[in-house]
Amino acid sequence: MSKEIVFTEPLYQAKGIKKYFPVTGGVLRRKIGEVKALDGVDLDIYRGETISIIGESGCGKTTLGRMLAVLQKPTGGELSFDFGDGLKNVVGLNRTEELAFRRRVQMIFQDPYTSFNPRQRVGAAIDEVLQVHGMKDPEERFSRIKESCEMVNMRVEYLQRYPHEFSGGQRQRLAIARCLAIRPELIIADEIVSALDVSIQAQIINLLRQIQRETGLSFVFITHDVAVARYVGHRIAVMYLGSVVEILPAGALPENAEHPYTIALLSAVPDMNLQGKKKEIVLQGEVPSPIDAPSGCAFSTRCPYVMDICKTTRPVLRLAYEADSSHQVACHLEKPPIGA
Amino acid sequence: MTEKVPSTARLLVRNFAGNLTGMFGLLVIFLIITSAIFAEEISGYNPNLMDGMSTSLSPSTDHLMGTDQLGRDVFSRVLYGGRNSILIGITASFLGNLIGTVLGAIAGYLGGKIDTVLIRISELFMTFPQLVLVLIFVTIMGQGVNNVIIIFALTGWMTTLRLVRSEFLSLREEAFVEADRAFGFSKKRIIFRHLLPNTMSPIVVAFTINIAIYIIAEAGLSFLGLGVPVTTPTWGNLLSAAQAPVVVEQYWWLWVFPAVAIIAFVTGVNFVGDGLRDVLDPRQRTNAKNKTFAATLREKLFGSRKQTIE
Repeated sequence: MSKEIVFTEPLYQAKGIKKYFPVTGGVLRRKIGEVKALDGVDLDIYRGETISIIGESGCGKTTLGRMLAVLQKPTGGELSFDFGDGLKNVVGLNRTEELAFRRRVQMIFQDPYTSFNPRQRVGAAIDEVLQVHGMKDPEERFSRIKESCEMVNMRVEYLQRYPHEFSGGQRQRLAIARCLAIRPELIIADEIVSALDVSIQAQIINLLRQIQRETGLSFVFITHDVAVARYVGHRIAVMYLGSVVEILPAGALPENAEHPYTIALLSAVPDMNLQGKKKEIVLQGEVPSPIDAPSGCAFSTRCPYVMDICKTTRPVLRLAYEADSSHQVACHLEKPPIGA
Repeated sequence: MTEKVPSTARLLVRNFAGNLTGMFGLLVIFLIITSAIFAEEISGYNPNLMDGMSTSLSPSTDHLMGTDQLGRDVFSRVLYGGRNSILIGITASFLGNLIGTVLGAIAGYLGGKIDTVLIRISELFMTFPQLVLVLIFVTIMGQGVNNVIIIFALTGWMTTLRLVRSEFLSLREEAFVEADRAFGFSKKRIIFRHLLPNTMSPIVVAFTINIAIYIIAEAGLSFLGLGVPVTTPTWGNLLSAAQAPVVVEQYWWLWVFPAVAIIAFVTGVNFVGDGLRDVLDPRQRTNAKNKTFAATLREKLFGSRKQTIE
């Protein structure tokens, strides 16, 4: 990674983000509960970094992505983006401000088969984005489109085709090109390789890494694949049941992790090196339902090191014990469970 | 992959050309519309010219469809009547569809309160028998071609609304809509530029079928003397001559020919509608039997021809 990432001034900051979905029931469709998809997420995204968000199904990582792209409004919390003169709130902007924000923050979606309008040629689809963002000169738009296609190794002649004429991998590259065309500062990639073959996955991932190196833009890479998350990201944010439990450097080993869930997750990844693999946490039981999540630490029902305080008080992200500034953990334990 | 893929419109034309019943319907419609347009040139008589010397003549070479009690040429009246009836059918169907499509798109995409309000209004209209509703409007607005068109449009947009709404409800969950929103596209752009083109096929089908419905409705209304004033010939007005039993018994040409015109046109329109449905949306193919019949017939007539679509 060419440039050093400065972990002081975030490009995008999420503070205490909550998203509750009402559960209705009965004849009168009354609210009988809430699904706490996100329950107080703090996340700082810095310029030029890729942050991977991992977690199992239903932990809220996709919801977090949609919050960051402001496709849905959070129930609570603050989202602020640095437009160049300090952090500014981005929820409920007026039309001009919203366009300015959307020009800077882009999202790529999981399903490459439905992410393009089936009745629009892909070239026109990219062009439309540029037009909406106020580029009037067709020549300029064309050169911009050409440039972004070159970045994803897509031939410009292909742009007059319809989406169904491309394979999944090609479409995902086109989706990336469509985002790149407006030169965003942050791209949120939501499970963008999970619908693809493994060989194509590698191709897309390497492409993303290359683009990241060349352009220096920031990525939020949402995935459930720990190996992919570590390969792509500078930092990894681990999510469990609607909250971020630990943010750690991508290179960290299970031994470096300080949250019991992270240790369990990282050590569950199959490893060729059998000697190096010593301590391991095998979790018991199931993830609690987000409708009646534990009141204290979300992980308290399954944590092998659970203490009384865990059941009543929710831990907040703090610097890790053996830490540089890029390692944070939300845990009440007074020393790392299986550190050095 | 390198082969050039034909556009949607060309695929449509090519597939429709292979749809036997659809093409037959198109031919019938084409003939009727053309003869209605060139009514002056074809008929040779002024439809409103009363000729006291030749009243109530049965069909002959002079008067192909005979004359009525006032000596007017029935053939030319059927042609001119077609003009008005088809105009009413097409315009009313277009306007009704337009209202239904716009409201349905808004209801389906925005959802929430707007959706509930629009659906309730449409239900209110639907629970009223349409004929009663039409009668009320006629009493308020009076008779006339324009009024009939407006009344049909105002009482016939509900099915289109529901159709378009349900299409939008499923389409708005597609990832491309989400992507459009992430790019900051306006609601207007998403609804009308991205979602509507994907809803076009059921709308087109509804449009054709509604033409047929409105032509019949106009005939019924005019038969009751509530539609277009008798001074303007329409198929319905011509039919209303058959109210008198003596006409039914003795002057059959006064009602048989307009009736045949209505039946032919409406059948043609329905054939085209069914054909379009088959071609535009394979999922909605309701009459699989008919389709295979058409396919076998086509094979018998033209030899087996492979259709390469992909």
